[in-house]
Amino acid sequence: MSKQNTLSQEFLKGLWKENPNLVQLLGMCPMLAVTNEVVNAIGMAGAVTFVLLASALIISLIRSWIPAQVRIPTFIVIIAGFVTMADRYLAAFYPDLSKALGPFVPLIVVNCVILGRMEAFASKNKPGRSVIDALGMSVGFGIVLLIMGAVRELLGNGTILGAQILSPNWYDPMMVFILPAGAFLTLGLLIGVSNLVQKKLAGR
Amino acid sequence: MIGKQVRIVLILVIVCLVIGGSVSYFAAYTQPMIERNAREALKKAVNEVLPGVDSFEEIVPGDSFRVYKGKDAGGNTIGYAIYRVGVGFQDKIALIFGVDPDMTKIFALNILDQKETPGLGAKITDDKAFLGFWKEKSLTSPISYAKPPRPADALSDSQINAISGATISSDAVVKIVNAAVEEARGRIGGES
Repeated sequence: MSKQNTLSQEFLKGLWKENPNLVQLLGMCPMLAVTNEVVNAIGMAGAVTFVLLASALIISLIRSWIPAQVRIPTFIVIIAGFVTMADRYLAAFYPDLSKALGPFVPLIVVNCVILGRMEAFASKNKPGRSVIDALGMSVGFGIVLLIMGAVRELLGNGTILGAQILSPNWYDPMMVFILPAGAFLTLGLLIGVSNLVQKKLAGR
Repeated sequence: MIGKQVRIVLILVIVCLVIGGSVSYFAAYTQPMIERNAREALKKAVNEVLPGVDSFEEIVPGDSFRVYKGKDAGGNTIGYAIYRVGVGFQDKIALIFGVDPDMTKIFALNILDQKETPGLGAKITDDKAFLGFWKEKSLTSPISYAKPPRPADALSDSQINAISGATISSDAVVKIVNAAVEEARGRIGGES
């Protein structure tokens, strides 16, 4: 690497240039599955943020000890530990949210965004830089989840966070958007729009 | 080279021990809260289907079928709350309903868990579209459903309205309730 990114570049790349969902296309399953309502999207984004930050910190702290041959098992054990804690925390303090997210909180263990950042970044960088990178990725992940959740809840149910936005008197909810098919439609359109913007920016 | 292999094993073991230890500590710390949440959810569910219940106890334990005996403040049995899991359209439906001590009528029905189609089958949780019809229905004959829906006063004593567009889900709930009543009569018929 000839020139190292500044810390703010390290943070901002997760939002746009290397956005985990729109550009890297990682972590698709939780994102497609739980974005039918904004509140679920917030819960998932929060859990992923916690796991990503905590794992990035711990793994970058012990990165020089971890033998290269067993780095993936070590990462997975650490990630799984934090995921279990996040799952128990939600079940203890937010039982309704925990029930709505169902198996998708435990499944954060295999969310490729997290393992991907550990392998590509936290295992090679200092703790501070790794946390900034993790924060950027989490915010990028969270924003996309929120947009997906808002679009799907609004079009599919006429509400946002449970509050009626589109009156049922004149708006007939497009049910498909809260069903799995709507997740694919929304994600496809979102990626299309972001590619379009990217092209426009590059062409200038 | 032996030294390197030992080091790999040692580091994996240490990481597992530290993570395992922290997780079990955290699990033990949250256990009472999770149990309390489950207890409160159950209490709320029983309160909603057995009006005026003061205390209740589990008299038939089980995974997919449970019966709770509810008493009022004076200690008189006011009825049973019956919990039953059955097959829905897409996944299992878990429901609870309250009956009087002789099991001749339903006080109210509540759906605890379901994964029916949002907007169609999921309306089985909707009071106006579905659950409201179940209040104070007679159990002297099995519950049946009317299709197409009728006005509430045109329904017979043991009849409810099916949800239009979600007959399978409505039918599933009716079957689960009827089966649960049968089972409850068989299991606790002699006790009261």
